[in-house]
Amino acid sequence: MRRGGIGAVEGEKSKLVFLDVSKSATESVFYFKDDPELNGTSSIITGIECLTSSELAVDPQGNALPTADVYAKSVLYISDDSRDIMVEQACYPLVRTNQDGTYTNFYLCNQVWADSYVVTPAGANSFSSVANLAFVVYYFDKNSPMPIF
Amino acid sequence: MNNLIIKRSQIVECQLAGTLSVGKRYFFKDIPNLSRNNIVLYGFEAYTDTQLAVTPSGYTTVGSNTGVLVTLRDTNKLEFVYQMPMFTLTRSTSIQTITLLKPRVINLTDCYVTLTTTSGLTADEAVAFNFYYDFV
Repeated sequence: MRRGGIGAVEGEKSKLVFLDVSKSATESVFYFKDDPELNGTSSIITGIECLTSSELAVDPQGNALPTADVYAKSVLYISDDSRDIMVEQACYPLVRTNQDGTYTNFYLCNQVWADSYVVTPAGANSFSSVANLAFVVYYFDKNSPMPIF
Repeated sequence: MNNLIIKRSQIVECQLAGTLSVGKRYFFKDIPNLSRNNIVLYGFEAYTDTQLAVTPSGYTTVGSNTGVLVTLRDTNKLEFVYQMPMFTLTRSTSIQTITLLKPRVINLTDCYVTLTTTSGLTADEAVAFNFYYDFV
């Protein structure tokens, strides 16, 4: 079992990613913006966590982050380079304070970030008054020495 | 303690279709991703409506986990997880760990849940799980 978080492995980095859900009055699928650093061609994703307003009050634009119940209406999808669903994951358990106080470990090597998205199965309007969902993605730069998991 | 590294994951559902009945087998819905013979299940956890309000198929997730038992069968129809309480599989009501398995090829549509009580459950809700799997 690997534990310890960022910096525990040489080359591990983290990135705060916001997902714009401001059109949730009409939409229920929200794609991440392309980020070459988070694609499987250049990185291995080793961890993901969702942030609520308890962990980060506001985003850089000053919008309040969602509360945990919003993540209970959210499912994270990460696609691989065959356009298959590699991860279909309920978001609520990815909030570390909802579970065991640690972020959730992944080992994803061939993900396509721009094909990854969040769905709210409850339908449009589930994210009323929420501007952004927030994720911290922990990843390992493939140009660095490989970790042993 | 989070004890798992997720390689691939998929939400699976078991709809409590029709009038609720104690002892009746409610089978898991088929998911093509998990029906391949080249995948092995190595961990899973259960969700109530606190963790996942509505399943990806649009069913309301059950609000109670104290009357639901889970049975998993492999491709030889062996019930390698037999009547495990859903309470145990829900991280927030157990010891916050994901249940890990010896990696095994499962027959998803042979897996089922049964009820020991219908209290706190409503017809046509779904029992939801996150399955953690990898390719053989």
